Amino acid sequence: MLVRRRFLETGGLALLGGLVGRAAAAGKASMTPSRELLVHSLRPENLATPIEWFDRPITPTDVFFVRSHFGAPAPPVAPRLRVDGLVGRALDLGPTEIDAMPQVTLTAVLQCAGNGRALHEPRVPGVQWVHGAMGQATWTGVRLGDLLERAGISSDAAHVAFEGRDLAPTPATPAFHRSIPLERAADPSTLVASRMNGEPLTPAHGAPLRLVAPGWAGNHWVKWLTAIRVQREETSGFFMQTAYRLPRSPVEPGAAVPPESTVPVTTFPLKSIIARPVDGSRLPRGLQEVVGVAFSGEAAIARVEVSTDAGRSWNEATLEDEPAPGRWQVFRLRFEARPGSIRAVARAVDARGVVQPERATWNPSGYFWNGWHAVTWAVA
Amino acid sequence: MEPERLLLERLARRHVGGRVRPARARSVAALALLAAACAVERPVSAPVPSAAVVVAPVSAPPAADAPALEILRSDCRGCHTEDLLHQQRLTEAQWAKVLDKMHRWGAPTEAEDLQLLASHLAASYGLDLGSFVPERLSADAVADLFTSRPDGKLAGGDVERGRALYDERCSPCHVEDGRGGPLGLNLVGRRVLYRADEFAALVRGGAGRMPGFETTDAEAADLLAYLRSFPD
Repeated sequence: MLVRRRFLETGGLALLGGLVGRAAAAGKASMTPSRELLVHSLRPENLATPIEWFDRPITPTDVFFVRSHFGAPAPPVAPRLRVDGLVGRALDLGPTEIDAMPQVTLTAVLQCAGNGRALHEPRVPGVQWVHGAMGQATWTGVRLGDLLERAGISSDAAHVAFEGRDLAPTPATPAFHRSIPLERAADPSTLVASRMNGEPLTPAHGAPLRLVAPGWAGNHWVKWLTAIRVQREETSGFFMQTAYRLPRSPVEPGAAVPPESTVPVTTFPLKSIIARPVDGSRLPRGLQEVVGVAFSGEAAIARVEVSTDAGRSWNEATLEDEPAPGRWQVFRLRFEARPGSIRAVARAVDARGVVQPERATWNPSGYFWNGWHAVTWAVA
Repeated sequence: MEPERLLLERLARRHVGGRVRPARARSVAALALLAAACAVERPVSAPVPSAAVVVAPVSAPPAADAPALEILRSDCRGCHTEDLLHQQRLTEAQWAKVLDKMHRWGAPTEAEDLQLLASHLAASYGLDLGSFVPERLSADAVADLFTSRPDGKLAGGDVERGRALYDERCSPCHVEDGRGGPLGLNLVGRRVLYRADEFAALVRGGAGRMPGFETTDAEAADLLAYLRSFPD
């Protein structure tokens, strides 16, 4: 892409360089991290949120990670949403009709199934996310259950499929089509959202409509939504039957796993991440604060333990915000430090008593890394 | 670096009976030329020029890499920027599997070239390469990537004239319905259709296996009007 590159170099990027520089300077001056994203790929767009942003309940939209398989499509000229398949009467709705339905707002973590892929050993192909393919936002929209009720589903319906406007780059490339079981679709937390953090969805985050399935990995949160199809079977095709699947039971790292021994990924497991101090940083002596987020797609967080001596002893951190499955809570631990090197480790425990594992379970696609996160910094 | 690029583009502009023949130069002279062009190109191929970019060798790659680099340029970059490669740490067997998938998914690379490419990628982005440090891009710059732009002088194109142009120049690869084929990518619903200046530059400059086409502003406007009329 000579042309585009030349474009970026001459036009856009001289300007962008300036913006990046200024943002970095501002980040150093205050505790507000730089308003930047980490580029994993520009085409298709895969951009991560810098770890320093995981010190607060809500991730601002402009630094919220972006994941796409085929690149974000152009915005629709006249957006419509179809609901069809095994329904009493198919719906074809415009924005006004959708906005007129009861609106729900909820707070939930959106996390890519592949977040942490780069931390799995042995390495596997795919976008090499470290920690930044996650964020928490408020999502506003209509309940999927309300839409399905309006359409009237048949008694033999068992799955609900979703299509977005992001077309595959060639006819030989499988379309990004996904489905979820009917009980998940009917769950009151499953939304067809039009707003994120109080504003209309951005093109990067799925405008005009996307699915919201709190607790379930991002691959279910289909963006640029155009069609909802009620059907008898799980959707066929690569992105449902080959990708986004996990071994039914743990396998040896590096092992090949036949498709029939896999199940679709659904809820993301218990995890905690330290936002600050940043690994490798240098801080003045005195009061130190370890702050981060903890969450699970399966249960609410019960407590977070932080070690400031590389795992020899553990202290319970304070938890902020509301506990709920699929929602993150900020944890914080303050302590006095003498000069030297400090290694802090965090681990979460959920309401069922499940403890975050020290090491994540390897799987062939590198999903759901959730080992204990450790950071090391120097106290001057 | 400009003369090399122009030569490359001229090499690419070989039409055969109204169809575009992909520019896969294989003569020794052409390979040497490609090696020179790639050597120049490679350091700037990262999305944002900055000192922080990964690990890509600054010196000219060995001439033996030229065919692989040319395949990456002509066959891969239509869908992937190179940053996606830079972050991988894979064995040759893993690379071969990835390439097989891309081949089945429509990458135009000849099957017999896949092994060559797998070897090159394993040597360039293998397990022993250091850690990947991603570029940082400001939130404003990211938002701009997703923003449509005014058409400016490319506004007001004519759909019918656009159709005629498309059928003559574009449909051999991008196919009548705009959804792509063995040699051309899908054009329906693409964001570049709402960034008219980028669109015109792409058509004129070519990309990957696509040659550049001499195109007036009026013609670019007509093409845009037609391409936007395709149903989703």
